[in-house]
Amino acid sequence: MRLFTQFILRPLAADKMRTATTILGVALGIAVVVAIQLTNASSIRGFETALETVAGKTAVEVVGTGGLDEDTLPSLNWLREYGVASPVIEGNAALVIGDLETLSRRDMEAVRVLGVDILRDMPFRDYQLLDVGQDRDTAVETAAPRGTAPPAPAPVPNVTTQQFLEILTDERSVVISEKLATRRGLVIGSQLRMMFGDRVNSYVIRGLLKNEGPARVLDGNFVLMDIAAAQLAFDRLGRIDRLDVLLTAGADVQGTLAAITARLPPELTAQPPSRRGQQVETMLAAFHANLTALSWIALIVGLFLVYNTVTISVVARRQEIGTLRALGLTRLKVLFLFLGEAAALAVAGIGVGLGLARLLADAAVAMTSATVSTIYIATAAAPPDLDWGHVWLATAMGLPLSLLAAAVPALEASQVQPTAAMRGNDTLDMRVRLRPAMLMAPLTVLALAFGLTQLGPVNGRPLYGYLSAFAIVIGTGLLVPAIMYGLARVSREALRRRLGVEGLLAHANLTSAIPRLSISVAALSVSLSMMVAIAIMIGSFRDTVVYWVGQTLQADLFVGPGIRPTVGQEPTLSPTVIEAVRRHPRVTAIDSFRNVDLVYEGKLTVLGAGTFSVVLDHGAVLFKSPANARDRVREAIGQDGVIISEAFSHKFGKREGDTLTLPTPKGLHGFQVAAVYYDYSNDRGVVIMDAGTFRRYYGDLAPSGLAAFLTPGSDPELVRMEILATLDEGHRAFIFSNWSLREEVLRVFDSTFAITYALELIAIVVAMLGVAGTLLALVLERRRELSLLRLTGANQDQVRKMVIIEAALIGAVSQGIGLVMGFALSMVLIYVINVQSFGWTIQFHMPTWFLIQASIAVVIATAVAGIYPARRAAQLVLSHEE
Amino acid sequence: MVLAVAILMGVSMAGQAPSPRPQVPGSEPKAPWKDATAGFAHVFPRDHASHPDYKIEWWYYTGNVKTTSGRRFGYQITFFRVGIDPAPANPSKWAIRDLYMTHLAVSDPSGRRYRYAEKLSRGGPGLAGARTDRYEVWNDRWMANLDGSRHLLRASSPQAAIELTLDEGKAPIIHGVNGISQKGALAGNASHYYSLTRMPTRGSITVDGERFEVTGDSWMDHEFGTSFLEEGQRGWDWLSMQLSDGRELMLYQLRRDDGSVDPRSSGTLVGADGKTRHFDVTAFTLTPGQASFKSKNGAVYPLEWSIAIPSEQLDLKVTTPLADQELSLERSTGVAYWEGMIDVGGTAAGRPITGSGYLEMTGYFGSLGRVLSGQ
Amino acid sequence: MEVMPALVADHLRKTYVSGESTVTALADVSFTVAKGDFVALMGPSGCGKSTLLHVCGAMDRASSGRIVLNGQDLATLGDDGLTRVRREQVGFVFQFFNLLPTLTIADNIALPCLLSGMHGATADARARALAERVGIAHRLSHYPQQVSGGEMQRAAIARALVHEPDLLVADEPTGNLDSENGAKVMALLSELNREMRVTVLLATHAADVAAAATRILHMRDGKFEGDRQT
Repeated sequence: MRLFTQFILRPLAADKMRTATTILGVALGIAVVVAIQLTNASSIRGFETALETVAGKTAVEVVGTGGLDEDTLPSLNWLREYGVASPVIEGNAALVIGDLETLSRRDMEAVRVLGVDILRDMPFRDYQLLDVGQDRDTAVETAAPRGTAPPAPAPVPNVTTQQFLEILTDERSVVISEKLATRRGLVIGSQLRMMFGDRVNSYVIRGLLKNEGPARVLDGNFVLMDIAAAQLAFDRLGRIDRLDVLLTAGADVQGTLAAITARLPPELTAQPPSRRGQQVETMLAAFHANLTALSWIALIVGLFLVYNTVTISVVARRQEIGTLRALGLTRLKVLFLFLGEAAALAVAGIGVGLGLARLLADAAVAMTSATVSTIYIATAAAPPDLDWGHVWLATAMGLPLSLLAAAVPALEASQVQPTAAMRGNDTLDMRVRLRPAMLMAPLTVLALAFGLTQLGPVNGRPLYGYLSAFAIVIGTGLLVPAIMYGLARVSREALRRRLGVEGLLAHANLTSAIPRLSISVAALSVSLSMMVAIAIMIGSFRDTVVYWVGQTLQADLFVGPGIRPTVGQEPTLSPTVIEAVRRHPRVTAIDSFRNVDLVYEGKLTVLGAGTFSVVLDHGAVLFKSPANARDRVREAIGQDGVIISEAFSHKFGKREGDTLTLPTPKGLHGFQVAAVYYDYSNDRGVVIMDAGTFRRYYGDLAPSGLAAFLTPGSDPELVRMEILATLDEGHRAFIFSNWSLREEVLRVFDSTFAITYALELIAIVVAMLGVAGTLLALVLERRRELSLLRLTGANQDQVRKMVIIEAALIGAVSQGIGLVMGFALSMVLIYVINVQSFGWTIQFHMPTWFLIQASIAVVIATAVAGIYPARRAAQLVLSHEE
Repeated sequence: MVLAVAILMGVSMAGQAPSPRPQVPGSEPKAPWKDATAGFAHVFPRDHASHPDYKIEWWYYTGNVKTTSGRRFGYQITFFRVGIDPAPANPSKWAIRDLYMTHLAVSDPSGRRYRYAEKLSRGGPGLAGARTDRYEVWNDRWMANLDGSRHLLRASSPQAAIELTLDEGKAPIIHGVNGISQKGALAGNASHYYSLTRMPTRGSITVDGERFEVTGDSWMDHEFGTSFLEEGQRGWDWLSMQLSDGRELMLYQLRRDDGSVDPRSSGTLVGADGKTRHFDVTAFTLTPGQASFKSKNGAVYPLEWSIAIPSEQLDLKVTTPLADQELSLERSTGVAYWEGMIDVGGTAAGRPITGSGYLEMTGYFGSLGRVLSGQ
Repeated sequence: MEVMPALVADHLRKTYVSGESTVTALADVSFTVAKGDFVALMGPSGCGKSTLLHVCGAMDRASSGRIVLNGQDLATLGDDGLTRVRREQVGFVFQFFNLLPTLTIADNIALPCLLSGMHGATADARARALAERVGIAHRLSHYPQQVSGGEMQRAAIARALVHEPDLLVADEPTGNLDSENGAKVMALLSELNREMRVTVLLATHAADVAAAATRILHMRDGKFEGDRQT
């Protein structure tokens, strides 16, 4: 142990820069992995927490596509045999703050609105009324002397259910959480404006809830309404969202669930409330899996820093090792000494990394929550706190992998001969020849990578796709030494001619250090290849989306409610707004659409209604198959035909001609698939039926959006303004012109991939640290050569220049390999992983200009990474050992 | 007459309108409810059905029944409809026009058991309601309806359940004068009130899951109106009984805050031939005795009553076989009242007479007056 | 004719701090070397002869005193100045590790020319010429590890002279060689000293090696003990 302290820890403490770099590298790797775990957890956790908070004691809920027809409730009265049932309307509304005229989505705060029949719901959720207004009972009134602040409201223990009901009876009465009231300075009697869909309503606060039970949802942004008021507000007259069931005490949940399921009509489903969370989790799984895969790259690159540092440590102390060996230290102990160093670095890195993880997670959540809430679910996401699970995860990943990374140099150290180390010129023979064996292994792995792309998904996950990408990375990594030898052979003259003696020296140094450098270059190449691959994939995807948007966004105006739709929450347009659009003289056609959540084969998908005739006339859908899709879709009008999105087709293996059995309020019904269309706005899968068909089976639901076509020559912006001007105070719609919606689509698209680039950037930064570390190792290893070089007449500038050229060369070679590997990876991403996880067809498109810029940036960045080692090299004390 | 709960609810809900809390547009008082006015002609079976124009309405059944082995039971089931808003602005079916409340109680004197359950529900999409075209009133799966001339009562809860078929027995009798039963000094403070006083009953009663086949006699009240009690009226004591000489008697006495008897107290005696005699407050005395029951909530209910109707030479003593027959619903409506089976003994014109029936005592728990006056 | 001396050392002192004690490597050394001289420094290990070579070859600085090379006081020069002096006026040969293992013999020989910015082809030509002169032209494309010790030292001599320096510093150049190869290397040095008129300063502990010199300076404990012209 004393030996460990003196021989390992002291030098680590002395060489602060190198130690700090390594620890930072490991820390960043660990931090990224843990942060992505936290981020992934947060997006689903936000949803699940809200779910659990609101679910209360509900054990079973009964749901149906588009909700339940309220008239079926008496026929479900038998649910009483199992417990108590409470009908629920739940949704998000926006608290409207400030001036209506200048209202934008940013001026609104999301609140969760729960509409219940309090008479039935009281046992379900923990409602604790703090105050219910002055006139409930004189006993509640507290006599506060004039001019003094009223005392803090105390819980009102004896509010009867009936009194609770009384304060909610009115369709404009709400009870809000005390937290929200405090935050917004609201009191009982205050007005509260909320936006539901496109309607702005005024409410009066009639009571405050203690921050318990459902009032804790969304950090207290909770509004309780009577179910009647909520139906009116959300425009869900005639329907309820679900029926919550509280089982009789002591009931067996699973058994009861099965019994209820058996008695329910087929269009209704009984499930535990957590099922909705699981469905959302499944929905987000592909998105999360990709983030996780990316995060691992940063870790792997970070581990290679451990390799570097231990290598440096071994190289710098060969003589000392030799001495220790001569003094009788066993090989095994030498091995353990350096593995110990790796462990020390890993532990420090994990410690720092866990701290960093929290910060990174906040940033990552900020970057992904926009995506998750735009595309998937609305959550007030905050990353969960670190727990021992994360510490365990970080340790279980970081420590063994660090030891593995250190194994190679530690083994090398254990092989040091006592005698050899005593002589001054004991260096490894670095002149390794290029052998055919060096090509066999990598080429085999690369062939395997190709083979893996031919296999299908496993449980809807592109498992073989990931393996293939991994094989490409490993194969190319193994190929790196061969590539470098090849490059070394052909580049010598060019370097000497272009870059002079420093170029010659850099070439010579790098060539001789290929075995050592290969790992650095491979690691950097892997990071860079991922960047390249992702750039190609996103570039292709974006190009495809731009084309798709151009083909499908044909309407001149798009009208939507003020609130974004999310899972289970479909804000709707009111007749007033639809009429305002329809009445405008410039509007020639309207396609209204309506989406509802559809659980198909246990997965959350979307069921939409659109006006097929308008869509066909205006070419607003891009069909994939069959060739005569337009005719087939026209025939399907009035014939219970549907069109499905490509993602749906992939996910469930359905294509034109197949029949989908969908739950409808009228029971299960078969719908024939008329065509498959491209849809890049949704990876859950979409089934669209003609508005007429939808109405027949699902009732006359208010639309969630409108597309309006104008007479030729109209100014969409002008029409937009004119329509908005006709709306009264109580209605707010968001109208996008074709142009601004395209902008919006691309904005959402770009924000979706911001996190991807950020993760890549971290991996590249870690790899840069690796390059700096490797060069530093080489500098220390070559002290004598450098000294000789200086004696021969090289000045400090020349030495610096040489090392920086080396760094830039490493960057250039890595980027070169990265480009090729990235191209291969992008193929796997686009044609295998993407198709299997999201089911999208992406047209390949090379973002040439971006790649050129990125390559230049990488070379410059690696050159910058070489500055520190270069300075160290130039500052070496001149001496010629005797 | 089972006024307690209905009036508590009705008045406190009505109290919203003049309250000092800020008004939201659209919540101003709606079109008024119809008042009970003199001259109303009851028609049967039509008037068994619901009268939604009136704010308050209830259907009330009590009965003393026994098994073939002679084990006695009492039951009570009451369906209340309390109008909240005759024409809600909200088109939702869940908008509250009426609240439906149903109380079910079963008394088992030999088992010293009194079990009760309640349902409180809005009409909603068929969750509870009362039909106007024929007699059918329900709350969840609890129901009372008319099948031909038979009244069918069905209600079940874990503690208590009934499944009873009641023949109409004697024809309905109309209480009060000229079709109305006056309850207050003001003209509108009255109700339309009729009873079926002796209904042969058979079926089953279940107590704590133990089911008994029973037969016996029931009493049904159906009463509807808009405003009942006035300021200063604290509660009442109400009795119904079937006497051994084939007659039935109903009496109620309104108690004022100061302890005095309200002049609107009245009663009806039904002859064996079905002819009725109306009594005003001056025609009878109703006096509590010594025995009493003290509830956990603090209320003290007299358990013995003396009735004297000099004009009929009736002197009756009322006792109960079970002290605790208090229905306490503090969590849901804040209401508690005593409603239970009674035994009657005494003399009619000097000859011994017996009987059985039901006693209702309200206004012993909480302050009815405060709620009444909307304070 | 007044000829400027090639090298003047004036009261040179050099001390190292080693731990808590101070080691005196040079204790007041003064001497003058004429251009074209072949001077051998003799003495036992640790007498300070290597330190004196390093100070004279602009590789190290004296703690005090003056060292003038071709009329230039080295003490006044910074790192860049010293580097320029080494690059232009000094060549050196050590006992071992004279050549960069990463470069071929040809590149090693050409290195001083290349470092001073000479055109690549010119430097290569010069290197080839000198390689032929020292007899290792057949080894030009080899790496140092691939040639014998004698060839390595010849290559080192070629490298030391390729840029036509005024002073050649040789520190035990034959210490690692067998006697036959050692003799050949010394012969070569003598020839080149005459042919190129380069001043040679050679440190050795072996009398037979010193015999090649025209002047022998004996050192002990950082001081001269004797100065003998041969």
